[in-house]
Amino acid sequence: MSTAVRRILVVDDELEIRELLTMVLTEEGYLVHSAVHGEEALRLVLAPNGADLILLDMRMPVMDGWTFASHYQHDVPEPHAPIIVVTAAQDARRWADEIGAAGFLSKPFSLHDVRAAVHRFLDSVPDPRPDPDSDSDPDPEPDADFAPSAA
Amino acid sequence: MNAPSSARARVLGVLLRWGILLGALGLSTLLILLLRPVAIVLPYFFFAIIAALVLPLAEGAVALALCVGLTVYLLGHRPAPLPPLPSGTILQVAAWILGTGVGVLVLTERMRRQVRAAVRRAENVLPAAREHGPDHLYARLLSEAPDAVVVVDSAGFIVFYNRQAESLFGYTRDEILGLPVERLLPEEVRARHVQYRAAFMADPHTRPMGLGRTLLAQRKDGAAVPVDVALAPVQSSQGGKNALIVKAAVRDIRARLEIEAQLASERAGKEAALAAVTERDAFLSIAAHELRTPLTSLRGYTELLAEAVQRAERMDVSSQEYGQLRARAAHSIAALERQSARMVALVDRLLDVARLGTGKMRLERTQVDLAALARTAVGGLVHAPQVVAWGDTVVSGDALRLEQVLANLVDNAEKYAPGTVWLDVDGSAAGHVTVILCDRGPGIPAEERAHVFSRFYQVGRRERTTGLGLGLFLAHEIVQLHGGTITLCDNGEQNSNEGGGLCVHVQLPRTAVSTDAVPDAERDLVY
Repeated sequence: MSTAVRRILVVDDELEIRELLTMVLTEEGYLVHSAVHGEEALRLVLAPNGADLILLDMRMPVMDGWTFASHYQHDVPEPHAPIIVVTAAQDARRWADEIGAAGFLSKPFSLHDVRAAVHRFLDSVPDPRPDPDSDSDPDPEPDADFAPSAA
Repeated sequence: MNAPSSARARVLGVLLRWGILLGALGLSTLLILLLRPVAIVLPYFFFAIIAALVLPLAEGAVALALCVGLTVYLLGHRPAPLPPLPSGTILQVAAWILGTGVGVLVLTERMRRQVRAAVRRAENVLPAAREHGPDHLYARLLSEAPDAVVVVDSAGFIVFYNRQAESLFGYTRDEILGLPVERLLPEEVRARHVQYRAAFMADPHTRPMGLGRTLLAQRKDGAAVPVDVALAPVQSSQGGKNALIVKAAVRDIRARLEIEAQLASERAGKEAALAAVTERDAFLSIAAHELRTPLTSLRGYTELLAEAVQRAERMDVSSQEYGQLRARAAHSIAALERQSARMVALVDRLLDVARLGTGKMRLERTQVDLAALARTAVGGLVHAPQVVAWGDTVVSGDALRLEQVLANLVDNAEKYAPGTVWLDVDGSAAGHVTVILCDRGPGIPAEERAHVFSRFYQVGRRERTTGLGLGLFLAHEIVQLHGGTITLCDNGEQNSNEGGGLCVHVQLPRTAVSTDAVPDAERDLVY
């Protein structure tokens, strides 16, 4: 990969879905963090190397997707990461519009959809931050074998 | 006052008047017999004048006739000892003629005045009729109008009354013309109506009467009839003199009210059906949403498994990669198992709701130790709390259902207040055992507590993600089936600055109270 490792934040209260997305996207060569609800996600995006893309479930306990998106857009200094709404609700498109998300994925999604959506956003958005801070992005060792380029 | 008693009062009035008059007549006759010639006619003279003055027209005429008859009789049958006095006789005849004459004059004058007033009122109303005669189109339009039309003058006397009014109120024109319009209203509103009428006269404009109230008219037979009344002031100029009269169009609305009541009940039925359909749709939509979540995992892990298998079949796979693929496959399979089990549980809950709705949920009662159930319920938690139990904690109940209740409550609490849940089981009371489950979570706002046990309710719409909104509903219904209660309250041990915190009290009777679900018409499910 030519640029620094891109970071993806998965926000979903379902453990199994967090694990699935983390596994699949890590394989694709991204650095994936996950959060159980909006509040935890907010803490993660406020950390020095936040996220480049956020996969956001909407209905969550503690802090829902709407509240998170609003905080992210207003309280985070440089909210540059596009948000993809990932929801089982029928209103996915409307909710995505409501919070100004870049796109949406309807559950149940196929892994192909997830990969395509993530590639589309991360491969077309240049990393706004300078490269040298890559020391905080350790290349995930075990996933190297599964990277598409490894074939 | 109602109609029969007012009729009785009228009859009593007539009897009283006539009693007094006949008494006076008898006294006069006695005086005549005692005092003889000079006085023979004088009492009748006064009596005739008084009768004509005080009695209503018809009764006055009867009294007068009675006097005349008696005088004539007495003049013809004078008692023998009565010495004839020629001058006296002339005097008597003159006095008699005078008395009777004055009485007749008074009566005719009164009749003339009444007739004149009625004619004047009628002329005020119907200038068209006056000018063109009663057969004229305008007059006929009014008298044959489909609504009852009553016209009153500025003093509130009825001056016109059409054919429909006759059939609506039961009075004929002759009976009602010239009477106050209040005669057509129930006793209890008459005084108030006089004020309303004055207010209308102060600001006369066309308007419906009694907006927002049900107006009642009173028929001649005393029956009250619901009516609509529209008022229109009319300036009538008669002989160059302006007078305000008011036209009231009155419509009997009994039939309309009946139809409205029928429509309202049909509408209520439709609304109930619609609500049931809406609830069913909500149910299906939430069910679809909830089933999609485990389906997402099923689909994702199946794909992951397929990919792993595909890669493992490649010839050039290294032993290290093969091991990783095996681990990946094992993880996927475990996830698939968990999610399938979750879907099975979800479908079971849906079926439970349907069973409750149709009254088909049956309890299989045994002796159940709630403390043991509580320990099982919290056993699966990451930080399983110590269950504190005291007293005899055994009740008669369906172990599986009660376990479902406690597991659901614990899951719920753990989801919103992870790590802060604790459980007590109080078996100290004689008749019941109480399970108390508390957390230090955000709690449930007091105004929402009443709704959390209803189907599909999710606090704050967006906040909840899973559970179908059915968990608490099912818990509530199962506890009720056991004859117990489930209540929510603030966690009293919580400091106010740390947020709400919730306590759920599940109280179950030791012995069976109600055994089976009863089909609940209000909650009939459509699915």
